[in-house]
Amino acid sequence: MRADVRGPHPGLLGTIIIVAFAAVFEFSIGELQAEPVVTAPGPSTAATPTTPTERPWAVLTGMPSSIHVQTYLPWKSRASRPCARFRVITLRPQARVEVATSGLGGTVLAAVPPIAADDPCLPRKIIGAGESRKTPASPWSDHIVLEAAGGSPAIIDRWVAARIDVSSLTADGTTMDGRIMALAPGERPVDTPLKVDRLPGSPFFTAATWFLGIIIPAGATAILGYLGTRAVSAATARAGFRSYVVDHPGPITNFIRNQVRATLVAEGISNPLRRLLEDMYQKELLSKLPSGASKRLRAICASEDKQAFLVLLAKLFPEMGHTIDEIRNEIGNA
Amino acid sequence: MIGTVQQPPGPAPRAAPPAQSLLSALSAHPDFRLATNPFAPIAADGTPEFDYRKGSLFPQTDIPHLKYYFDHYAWKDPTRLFKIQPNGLQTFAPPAPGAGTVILLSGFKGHGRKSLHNLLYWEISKTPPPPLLVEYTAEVFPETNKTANAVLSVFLSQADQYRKENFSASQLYDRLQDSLTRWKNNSIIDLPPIDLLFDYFRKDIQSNKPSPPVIFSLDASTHAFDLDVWRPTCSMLCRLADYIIVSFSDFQKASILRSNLSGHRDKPIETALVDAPRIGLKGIRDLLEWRLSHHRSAPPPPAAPKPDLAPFTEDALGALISPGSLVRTNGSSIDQGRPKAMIADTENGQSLSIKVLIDRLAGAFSEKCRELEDLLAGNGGTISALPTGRVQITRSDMERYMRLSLT
Repeated sequence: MRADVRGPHPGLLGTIIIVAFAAVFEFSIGELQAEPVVTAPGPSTAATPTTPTERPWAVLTGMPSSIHVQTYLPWKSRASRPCARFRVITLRPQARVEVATSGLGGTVLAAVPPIAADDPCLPRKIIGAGESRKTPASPWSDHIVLEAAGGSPAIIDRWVAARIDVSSLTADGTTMDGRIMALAPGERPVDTPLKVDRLPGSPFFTAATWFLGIIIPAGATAILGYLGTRAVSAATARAGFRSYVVDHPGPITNFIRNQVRATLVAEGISNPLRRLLEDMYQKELLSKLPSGASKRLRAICASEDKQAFLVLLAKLFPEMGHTIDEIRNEIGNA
Repeated sequence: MIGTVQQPPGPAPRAAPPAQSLLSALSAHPDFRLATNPFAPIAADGTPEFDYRKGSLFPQTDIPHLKYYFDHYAWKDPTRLFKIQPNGLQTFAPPAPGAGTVILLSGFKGHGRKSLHNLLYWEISKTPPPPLLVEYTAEVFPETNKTANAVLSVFLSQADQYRKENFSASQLYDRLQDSLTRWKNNSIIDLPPIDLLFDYFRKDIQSNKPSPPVIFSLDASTHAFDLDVWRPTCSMLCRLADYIIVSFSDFQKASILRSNLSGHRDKPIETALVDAPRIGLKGIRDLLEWRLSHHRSAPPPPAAPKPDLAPFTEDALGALISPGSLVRTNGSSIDQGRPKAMIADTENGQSLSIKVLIDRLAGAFSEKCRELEDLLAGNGGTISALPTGRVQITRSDMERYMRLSLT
């Protein structure tokens, strides 16, 4: 019997990786949706009678005999709990039935409405008939009590959801064998077995692990390499520029003493910094600047901020600091 | 006088100037009151005095041109060079001893820069002997020596010509050649700096009695502007010349060069900058009032508006710089394709170059006179019978003329 069990949702990234590996490894999408495969449908009723003629007082129906849990993505392996629904039907009137588990770790149960919801594991607050959404208590418990309506014995027919605790199945290939039991006063316990297996990781989990194991270090290496190259390149550019400044005092001195001074001090000049930028371009000074300084210079020239321009100039050509200060004073006095 | 003297060029006016006989008749009308054409006045004996539409002013060949200068210039160094008056410049400081003065003239074509250049030349020529003028039109090179060689060649050529035209300088050229030989021979490995040669030349010129002033005239508007080239060139020429007149189209380039030459901390050079700007509405009004005032046949009536612009109206001046939706007969805008130098915005509104301004004023005046001539022909020549308001040049008259002139 196919279990009404759903695995954890892979998420967007997981879906993308799944689709990619489906194309690579030729697995079908259906297989990749991590619906645990139920391999061993078992009897839906429990309670082996002591004698062939003894009729059980209740049946537990709809519960698979085994549930498989499989890891297919590294971050989706342990977080969730598989969930299953089953039905408890008393064959003779009972006032109350207690449902519990055994051998299933922290598995919890909750009485659920009979509505065939898509997800048997409803949100925290399960709204039953007549219940209010403001019910404060959590419905999940390791054992629950199903009572007949009105308190008098009657046939009880209720759905129960079970959240299976797979936290003990830490390694692939481990198994948990347990039972779900129904208990009533004066009656023999009725139970049904439930086996929970953690299957070995899916090929896609393996592939994903490999993929991430390669791509993350490679990516980190690439990023570090890029940053390192940039740093080296910037340092080289700075060193090259310094070397140019030291080796070519004439053009630089002329430019600052003549062009810069005259343009900033002269009367009636519109957009003086843009003129100077053009002069620097024509004299091939711009091409010698490190890229960061070049960008800053262009931004300053576009904004026509004379003081910022002179500050940058003093930084680029500290050897001409005295002349630049004189120009700054002249502009300030103008 | 040596140097290239350019003959006044100038296109023929679009509307023929009105005949003096017509103007004499119209002068009696209270809305006209002009004895002659203010833009092409004719003397009492019938000879043309001057025609603004024929081009630049040339006082060096025609001294009466002096009185036709309208001072719309911006004098940036008034202590050295300032203000046009009927007999010349109010201030024209001589160069410092042993060093030349760089005079920077800026202005686009049609703004009056050439007339100003001619005025300066006339000022320098006022005192004999005539100046030795070198118009250098070759390229200015980044390598100073290259420029110096080119300048030297042109200078010696002009000096030879000067000697032929001026008896007083008969020995000057020979002295210059001797200095050149001495300069070349006094070297061990390489030629000495050219500045030294120019110092020799200056001494030779000063020792020639009377000593002619040396003027170099350069046109920077035809060369790429580079301070690294122009500064050493001007500095080199200052050792030889008394005046170095450098012409620019762009005022800002002239201003930068002036700032560089005069503010150089090691070797400041004396400079004077004059700009020939566009003329806005106020300047147009001043120019017209000034021009008309010279040729009034009668004072204005008591109730006449001020300033006295008759026969022009204030509205007509507005049409000059704000033609609005004026279009050519082919439907295109009057300003379409017109160079920006001719009509441009200033802080106070639109403005015109002086050439375009004079052209439009003179043209509208001639057109109005032609119209009045037709009217007079129709009414038997009776001035008083001319309809009221028809003698005035109104906005629509100006716009009509401007439209016609563009077709």
